[in-house]
Amino acid sequence: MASVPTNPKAKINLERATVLLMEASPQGMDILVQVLNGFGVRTPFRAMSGASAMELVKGHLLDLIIIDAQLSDMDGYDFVKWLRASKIEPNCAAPVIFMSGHTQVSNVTKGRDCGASFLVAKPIVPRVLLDRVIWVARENRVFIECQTYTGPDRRFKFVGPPPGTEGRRHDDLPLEVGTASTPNMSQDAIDSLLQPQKAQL
Amino acid sequence: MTVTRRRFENRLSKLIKLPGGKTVQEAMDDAESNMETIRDKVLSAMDKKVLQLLDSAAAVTADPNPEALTNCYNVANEIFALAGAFGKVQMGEAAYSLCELIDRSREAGKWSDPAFQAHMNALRLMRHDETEEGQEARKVVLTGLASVIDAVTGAPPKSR
Repeated sequence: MASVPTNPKAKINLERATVLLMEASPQGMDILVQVLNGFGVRTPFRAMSGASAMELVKGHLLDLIIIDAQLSDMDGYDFVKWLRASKIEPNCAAPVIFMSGHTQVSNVTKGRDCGASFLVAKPIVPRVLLDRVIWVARENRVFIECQTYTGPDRRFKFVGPPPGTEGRRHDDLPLEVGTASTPNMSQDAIDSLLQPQKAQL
Repeated sequence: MTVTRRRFENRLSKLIKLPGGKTVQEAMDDAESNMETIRDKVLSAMDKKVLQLLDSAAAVTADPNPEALTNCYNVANEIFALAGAFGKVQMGEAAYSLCELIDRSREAGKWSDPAFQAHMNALRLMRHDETEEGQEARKVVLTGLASVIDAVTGAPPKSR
């Protein structure tokens, strides 16, 4: 997915955001803390294990979670799955940015299917991470709950239902474009709609 | 299958727009300056991890146990993340290549000790030679590592 173009002069305020950072490596955690402090986050919560993070999720209102694939006692995918299915509202629907070092295809798929909002490949680069933080702050995807998946709607590309199926949603459209039902517009007609004209007073 | 669709308020989207704060450029600059304050500490820890990896290589034999490989994979993955964050690109690439070797060997059900040792030697080289003059030679080594992995495990899947 293309990154959101962010104006360098645009203002952001993360001073009041409550952020949970989850990373098993002490050095990786140091990097995250320094980067997030630079973004303006005051005092992020830190957890190196899934167990300590679960306690934080139960006791604090969280606005953003940044998690590494490998924690000291469990893997990050299982934690996100637990979070999404926990029904601890509103934390269960908090934006989750998932970080992964060696990004095998299987891991990226696992990250998407566990319910993460976004995946970021390590190494951490402040520009990329900030871009993703702004992206998850702007998004407003529907939260899906079903037997096989709980998390933000994974279908945000709008490429239509899988070939050969009609789709399950009432607003699913087929990929094939049908025959036009009205005549094509002429270039003059298009221009008259799009080109600003000087007003004749 | 019952599917429930709900909308939750995105609190972050409200907070990020509150008055005050800093510009995106200032946020990036501050993050980069903050990272510089821990550069030496992190790189020193990374170097210890490289040594730890080289030591643990002794436990990896022609028929390594899965635990030893997972340990090597995890340490290499960490080295990749730390090296890359502080511009040690070639060290990061060598560590990443080791992750690739272990991951693809597991998938292919094949193992080559010489390929593993080639990666260990490459990591030793990256650790001892960071000179500008050695950059081209190190690039050749990294290209060689990729060929070694392909030779051992077959061509990478197209989706990679």
